[in-house]
Amino acid sequence: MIEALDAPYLTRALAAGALVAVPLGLLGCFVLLRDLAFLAHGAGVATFSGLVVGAAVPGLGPFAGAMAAALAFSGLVSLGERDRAVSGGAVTGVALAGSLALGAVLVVAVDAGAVPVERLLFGSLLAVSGADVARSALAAAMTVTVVGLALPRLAATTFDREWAVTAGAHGRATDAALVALVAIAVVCALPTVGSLLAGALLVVPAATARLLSERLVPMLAYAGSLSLLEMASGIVLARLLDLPPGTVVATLGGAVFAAAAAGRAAAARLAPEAAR
Amino acid sequence: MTTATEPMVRAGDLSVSFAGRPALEKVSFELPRASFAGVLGPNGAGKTTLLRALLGTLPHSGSGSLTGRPAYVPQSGGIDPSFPIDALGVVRMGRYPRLGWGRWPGREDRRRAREIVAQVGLEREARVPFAALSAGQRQRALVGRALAEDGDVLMLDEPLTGIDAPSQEAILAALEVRRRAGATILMTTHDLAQAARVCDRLLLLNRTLVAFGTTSEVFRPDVLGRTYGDELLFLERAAVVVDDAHHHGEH
Amino acid sequence: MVETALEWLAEPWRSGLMRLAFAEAILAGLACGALGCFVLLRRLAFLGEAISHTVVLGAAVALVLGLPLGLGAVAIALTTAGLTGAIASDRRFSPDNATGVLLPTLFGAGVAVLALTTGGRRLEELLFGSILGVGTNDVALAGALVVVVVVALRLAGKELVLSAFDRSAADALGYRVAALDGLLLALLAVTMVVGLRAVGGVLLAGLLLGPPVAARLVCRTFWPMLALAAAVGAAAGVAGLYASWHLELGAGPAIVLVVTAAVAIAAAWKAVAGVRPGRRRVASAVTAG
Repeated sequence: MIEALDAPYLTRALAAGALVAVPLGLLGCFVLLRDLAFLAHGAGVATFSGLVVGAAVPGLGPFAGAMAAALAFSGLVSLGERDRAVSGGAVTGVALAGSLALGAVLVVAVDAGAVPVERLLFGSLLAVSGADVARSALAAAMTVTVVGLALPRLAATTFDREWAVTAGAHGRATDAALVALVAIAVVCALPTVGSLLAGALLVVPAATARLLSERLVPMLAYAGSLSLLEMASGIVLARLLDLPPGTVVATLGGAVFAAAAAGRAAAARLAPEAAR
Repeated sequence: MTTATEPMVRAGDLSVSFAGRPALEKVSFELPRASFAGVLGPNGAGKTTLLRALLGTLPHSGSGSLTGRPAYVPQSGGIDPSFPIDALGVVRMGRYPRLGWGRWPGREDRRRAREIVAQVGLEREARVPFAALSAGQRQRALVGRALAEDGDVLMLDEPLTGIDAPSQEAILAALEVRRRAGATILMTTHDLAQAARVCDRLLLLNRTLVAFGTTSEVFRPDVLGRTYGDELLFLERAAVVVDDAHHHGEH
Repeated sequence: MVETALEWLAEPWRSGLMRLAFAEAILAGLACGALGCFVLLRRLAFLGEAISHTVVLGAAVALVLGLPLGLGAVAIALTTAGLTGAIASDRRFSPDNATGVLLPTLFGAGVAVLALTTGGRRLEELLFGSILGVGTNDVALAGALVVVVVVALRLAGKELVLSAFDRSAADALGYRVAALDGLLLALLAVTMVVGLRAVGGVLLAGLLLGPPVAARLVCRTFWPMLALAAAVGAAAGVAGLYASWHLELGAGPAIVLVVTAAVAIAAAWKAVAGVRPGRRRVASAVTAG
């Protein structure tokens, strides 16, 4: 088994995955607390068309294409959600489906065989390059730095926006920074987990962390660690089962959440006063 | 350093309108240092609008200014109560505005936060999650957050509405301590009797400024009648209540 | 010139396969357009998106167990909705959070199960639809399901609207809001079975939400909006199939692209039409009174 794991492609996949898992876990806490899960999922799905275009246009590259698609999607949805008549996620739903449909059509238009659709949708252990590792490292460094520096602002604007804005935190700038960091992390995660499941590590480890802690800083620590463990284990399992890594990581994340929820429920029943 | 006589809160023909409809019309007044002013008026009178305009978060015509640092307690509708934070954490957030980028609360900030938690009577609840606190306890934590900001002008939007009497008293006591130390307080409220009891100045608002002055000058039946119209019920000479069928309306 | 246009329009209808596809597309468009109005108004878009993804798991399990796919789809729809409610009942989690946890978990598991059991053969049709392979039985089933939806809306439509608009009022008036929720969920599951065939799981949200969004931007009251949404859904189905036929595009993606274009047009119309002076007069008359 160790031999199976000792291949350069797998080392790269693990490195890139582990590095991007940390920002996904940290940012995921704010995605959870600000109810941005749908937006994050949609941004992930929307990158598909960007990947296709980027792969087809010489000089652009999938990363740039995906980045542009994720940012365009987030911007468009923020605009659309302002109309109260159709707010509540409908614009997100239409935008992500439209974007995916566009990608599906372009895949055929570009070159049926050249772009491996399943790999783009669910990730692949074979597709992670050294550049992907470097990008993930950069994303991790950026996120840890920004979240570390801006944590008071992030916390205050998430908890009580009106007070925070009056007290000098720039609400819109904080929102934009958060969305940008999420887009970057999602795009860096694409080679490993794919477009359709990029949102998994944003939400699920953070949700598990929320079950484990009632304070923000411990929650961030749990989320980052869980995300890292789930990504690494998911990649190894995917190698062993020969499955697309995105599917294994996502399922594993959910299983851990379920276990934590069950554990808490059992603990509560055994010691009702202590567990509250 | 402000002089003793310089007004801390100033409004000159302050007006705000939303989509062409006036919410505040030419409100003018001045509050001296260490005064405790109550803003009274029916729903839709513009009480919240007044605070926001003075804080600079609403576009307005005319002038509205605060001297020194403001500290604000908005109505708590926008808070997600399930946020992972405890009472002490909420109070400590009041120290954030003084921190620059990349700075986290230091030892002095933490000490100050613990001090204020005690001041508002939440020592035993310091580590209790915000979500598990009662309405009165939550409000005490939010007022504590404003106190932790060490502001010169405290602006509170209906801080005492709908909470238990002990919490109200704890908040008022903490505010009075701060006032004696030199802070100026502007508080909107529905409770006429309470305002008459604790405030030294009253602003009676009904889109325009109906009356402004010391409590004894202003708290008279004819003035109150002009403010509230037929929402006012006189029970006996000294006691006045507002028949407030539409509670917690957005101003 | 007219002949070529007519020929262009008539050509696909000569194929028996396409005639069935047109029928399926119209039925799917009608059902999704109509039901989607409730999804829009109840702000259940994310749940709708999640269910349409998790049906892949339902289908995978059904395949493994040798049961009809539709059964698996309905079962997983109810499971997803139930689990979402269970997680969201914890005050720490919002419906957005709950759906955000369940979608990747169940969808990822579904794709993994499919890959392990069938080697991913049926993945593409579950993801993007397989409308060009429908048989008469499929169309007959779709027709029956649409009849069910129409009858349900005829019988309980105004109650569903009332509970969507003002749940506490409906409850106070004595309506069993939980039962109405259950009915809506059942109709949604049924609609999704039809829509799944037409556009597939990952695009279904487009067909379910797009026509209602477009209609909402144009209509101001509910029932005209529902009628328009159903019409837009059906028309998009037909137009998408034409695009698929003449431009050699995938049918599911083509239909959803047409829907997206319809939304864009409606949004542009609203932006432009909103500055008409007539509207402002009405608005100020209302507020002055």
